[in-house]
Amino acid sequence: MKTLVLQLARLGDIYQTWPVLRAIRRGQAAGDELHVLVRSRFRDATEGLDAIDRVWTLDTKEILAPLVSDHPDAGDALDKIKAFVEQLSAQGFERIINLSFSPFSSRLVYALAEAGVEVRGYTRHEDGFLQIPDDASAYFFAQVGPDRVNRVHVTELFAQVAGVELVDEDWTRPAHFELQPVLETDLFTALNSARRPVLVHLGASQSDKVYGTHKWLQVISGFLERIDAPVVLIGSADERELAKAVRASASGREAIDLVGRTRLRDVFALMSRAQLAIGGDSAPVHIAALTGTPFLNLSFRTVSFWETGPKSPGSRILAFETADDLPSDLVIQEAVAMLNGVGGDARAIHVTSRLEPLSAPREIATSVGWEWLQAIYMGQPFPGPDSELCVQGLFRLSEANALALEQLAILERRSGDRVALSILDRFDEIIEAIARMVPTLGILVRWFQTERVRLGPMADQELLTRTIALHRRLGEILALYTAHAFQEKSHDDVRLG
Amino acid sequence: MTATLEVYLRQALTRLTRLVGTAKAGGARECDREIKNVRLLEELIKEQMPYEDAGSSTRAPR
Repeated sequence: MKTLVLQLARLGDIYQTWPVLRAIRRGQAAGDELHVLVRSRFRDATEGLDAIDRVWTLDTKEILAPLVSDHPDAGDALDKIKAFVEQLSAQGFERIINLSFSPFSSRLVYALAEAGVEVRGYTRHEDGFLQIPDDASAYFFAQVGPDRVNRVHVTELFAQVAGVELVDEDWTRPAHFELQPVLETDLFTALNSARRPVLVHLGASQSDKVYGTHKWLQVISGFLERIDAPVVLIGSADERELAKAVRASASGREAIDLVGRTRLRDVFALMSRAQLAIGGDSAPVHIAALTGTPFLNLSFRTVSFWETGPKSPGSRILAFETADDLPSDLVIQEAVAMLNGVGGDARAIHVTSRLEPLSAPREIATSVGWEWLQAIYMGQPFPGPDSELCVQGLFRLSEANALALEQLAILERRSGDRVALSILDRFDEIIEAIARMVPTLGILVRWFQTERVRLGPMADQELLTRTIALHRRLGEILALYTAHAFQEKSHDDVRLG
Repeated sequence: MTATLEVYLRQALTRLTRLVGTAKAGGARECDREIKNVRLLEELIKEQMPYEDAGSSTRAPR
């Protein structure tokens, strides 16, 4: 079988896809092929990945170039995208796995998938409407993102979309990456010791993921005072100024500044040697997952460490609302604790294994939202309502759902009844308003809306029947509360019978 | 993204909408393929627009 995997996101997402590609490869028979499609500017993130037979690239700049001129030529751009699609179509892929979750990727899969091709991940229906064929992608659509309560790591979600089981060995570094000789010389001269370095990545892909310059300065100074090991700064060329500002000497020592000088393969080589790496949510945290290097992840509100945090055992996460809330002293203390192999701050979240859930303090581990997700998607008991507002929201949802079911019953008898259709249109407004007021119930609302999206185009009668079934399913969940828990004033978990 | 680039890309989207109209006037199969490609190009352009994050895997789909 010939399989194409689409990963059209960034460097970090590509590295988080490596274990999944290895798991797919492990399940393939002799002679099977595994191809991957990435954006051309992130192609380097596939270097060293020996599980794949061929890397295809999407060159957005090249395709759109005819449009960016004083005499834009849409036809020329269209010809380029046609040629791109035809080139991939000619490969005759029998299975396409889309791990990109973007509108473009869904349309590309639809353009590539001929009849008989197995598709996993987003694609499109014949009428152009989004098609979500598998449950894992539906979960992603509805519940994944920094503003959501999902706690399943994206690598595991990718694996579920691909239909594979991960094993620890799927996270492995490339065997042959060595540091550039010039960096090796610099590093050796600067280190003048056999001690394994501590790697610090200063930047991140977005400014709101970055720890402030002043705080980095304090952290680096603290490291140089308290850590014997060499401190090595890494990052992209864009971060050179930041590196200059923070590499400040302390106690006669200075951090080794390799910012802007490393290729990705160098980062692998450095990471493999490091005893600890520190940084925000960016590619190095995912490279550390592959090399098995413990990572101290500084995580802020705009990122969900549950979804994209470190995977290497022994890693820890310091999660705070903003960079301003995370004291530099705490970063220094936690790093020193990790180097000494002792427990650190009680607020730190620990990675014990790549395949096990994070170990978090009780106040972080406890989440009613996560309990709702587990109930809806994983067969766990439904949690009790967490507030009076939630109780009211459940009643309003139940009433709205009952009204919708009445209208659907009318449509069963009188197809096209305008009043019924009009009321059904309002149903969405009502449940979205409830979701805004009671965020916990937003989880249930998004599940319902996503399942309705998944119904897709079909004959009117069948669509009606399946829509009624979906509303009944929602009604069963709501009845757990309206018919039961409220009257008994019970906040205990409730289970669907 | 520069304002000029955004103008170029918005103009391109308008042209592509016209191309869909032209394609629909063609034969059914060719029309279908052409529209698929036009929609694909449209999405690629939209990814470049402000506030459209092309990279993140957690990007909300439309």
